[in-house]
Amino acid sequence: MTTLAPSPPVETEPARRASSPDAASRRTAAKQVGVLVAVCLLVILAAPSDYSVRIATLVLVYAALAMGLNVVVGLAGLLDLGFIAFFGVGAYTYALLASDLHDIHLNFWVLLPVGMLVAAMLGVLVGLPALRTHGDYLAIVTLGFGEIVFILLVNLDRPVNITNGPQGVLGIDLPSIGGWEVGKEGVFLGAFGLTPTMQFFVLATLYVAAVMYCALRLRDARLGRAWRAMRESEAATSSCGVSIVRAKMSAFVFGASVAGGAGVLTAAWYGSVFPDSFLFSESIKVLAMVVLGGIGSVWGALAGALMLVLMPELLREFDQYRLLIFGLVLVLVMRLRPQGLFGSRSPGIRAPGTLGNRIRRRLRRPTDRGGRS
Amino acid sequence: MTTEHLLVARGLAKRFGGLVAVDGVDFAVPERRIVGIIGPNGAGKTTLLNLLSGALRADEGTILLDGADITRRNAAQRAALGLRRTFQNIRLFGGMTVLENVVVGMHAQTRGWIAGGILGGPRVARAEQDAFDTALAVLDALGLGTRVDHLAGSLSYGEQRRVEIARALASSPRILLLDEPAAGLNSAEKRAAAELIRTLPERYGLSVVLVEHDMDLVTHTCSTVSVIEYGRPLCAGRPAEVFSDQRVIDAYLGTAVAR
Repeated sequence: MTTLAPSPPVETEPARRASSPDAASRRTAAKQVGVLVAVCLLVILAAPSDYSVRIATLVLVYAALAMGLNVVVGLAGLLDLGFIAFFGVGAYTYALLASDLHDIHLNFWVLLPVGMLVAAMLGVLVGLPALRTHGDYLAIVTLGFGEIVFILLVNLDRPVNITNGPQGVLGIDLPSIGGWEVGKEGVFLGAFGLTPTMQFFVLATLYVAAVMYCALRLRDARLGRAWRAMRESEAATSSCGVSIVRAKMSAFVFGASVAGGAGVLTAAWYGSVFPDSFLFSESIKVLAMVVLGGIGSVWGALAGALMLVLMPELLREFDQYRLLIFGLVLVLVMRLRPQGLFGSRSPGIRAPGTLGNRIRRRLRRPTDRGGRS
Repeated sequence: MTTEHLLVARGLAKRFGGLVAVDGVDFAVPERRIVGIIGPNGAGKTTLLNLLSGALRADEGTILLDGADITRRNAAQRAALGLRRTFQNIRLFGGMTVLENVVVGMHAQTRGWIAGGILGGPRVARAEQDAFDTALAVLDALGLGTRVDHLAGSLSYGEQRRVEIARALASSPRILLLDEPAAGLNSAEKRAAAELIRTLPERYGLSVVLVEHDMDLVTHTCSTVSVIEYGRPLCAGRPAEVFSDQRVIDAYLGTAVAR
């Protein structure tokens, strides 16, 4: 491609890189998604009760959200505190267009991409002004955006009833394939059977598998490299020919559409949506999953979701001490493994001083002792 | 200005509030030449480089790259047109491998965005393969062949400087702006850097703009040197002439004061 005189042609040393980078990334992603699907299969076979399958489905929904936010915060380094709004917009897209509220009953498989698209478009709309701000300011702008969406969901029942306000939307349609409705009744083939709950678990597994594949592929692709580079130095990244605004916007829009799709899925699963499910605290919860699991790690996002969904359930017997113990465990994990469960420690070059990076540095500090104090 | 000048700047000016950092600088870089910019601390050298690279927008003046007006292009667009730079304080992507650092530098040579990144396809795969091959070849040529899979942040200072140059070189730029490439290097590394820079135009067919304090390095590499002081051009010429010019000596050492 270029004439780089002094070096020998690369063809003479095939041992350096056995396969093409694209094929290698494709294989890595497929393998890891395979592991995920296998684990989900085991869960469904081993699950002792419908209740545990429901919890596992919830883990998967949050895992999808955390994987989406991980691209925004972890790869691109943009602290988004209003992420749950995109989830809400997806959920309401399905709720309004597939329920008795407006007597519109569009198909789930049509609305899944529509929900993702609506969330993505909203991402562009918010991103245009927000992504021109930096670091902490971006966090504040996204925080405000999240609040606006929540307030709209609560108040858009007057003068024309669009969202049905605080009462939420009930009686949302089940997804259907052909004439068969997912989650209506159990399907049994001899000894093997899928209860309605399990059917939604399968649907969630498919969605998370798709999200995981996309996230892993993007991470190692041209765009993902630009994201990771941008997180460390915007000046150097733009000097490499990368349009910073475009790269940021892409991360934002990708994360938004992942959350939008998860929203559609969740609305169909629950059969009802309420504005309260999309409060600021939910954004923080997903962010906590990303940080706890390890910023930038796709498996970490899953681990964070697993921990933050399972732990409150497992701690039920502690009754009023539940949240206390929950908080203590979180503090301990961050103290003992500041890079997160699946995070790797990056070397000593200081990343730019965005709030996200500062949080990360602060969290990392305890293990940095010994170098200098 | 004749067409053999690859990069031409006319009447460049940049003010920060009341401070005039660059004040009417004319500047031309011929094809395949190394042009030095020197001047005392605070003379506006780095600001000039930032104006050329597009990191800063000029208040006045025009910049032409190969005859085309790039004054209104931003840093990323100029980089894609083959105008590349390094930084005085090294700016590598420390958490990425050396190879990845260089491939990020080849953004304009690689393909695919969201859909292309997920789905791949022959065009994307081919471009990726080419980019990684070229990056490996450039890293080999700069003596970093054994470091390709190391994290950039784990390398020594001298190696990091070379990775930064490799990152710019791999995209086959037309012109390379080096901001104090010898800063922080020991004398052996400095000699190696001088040798590397001196051979760049011939090996890679590009021009170099070198902002540097190290007189030895400038003397050994540059065909012409421009001196700026207080943001204004002081004089220009061959290194030996410039360094013996009384005005330059005064600018660096201060004028003699009668006691």
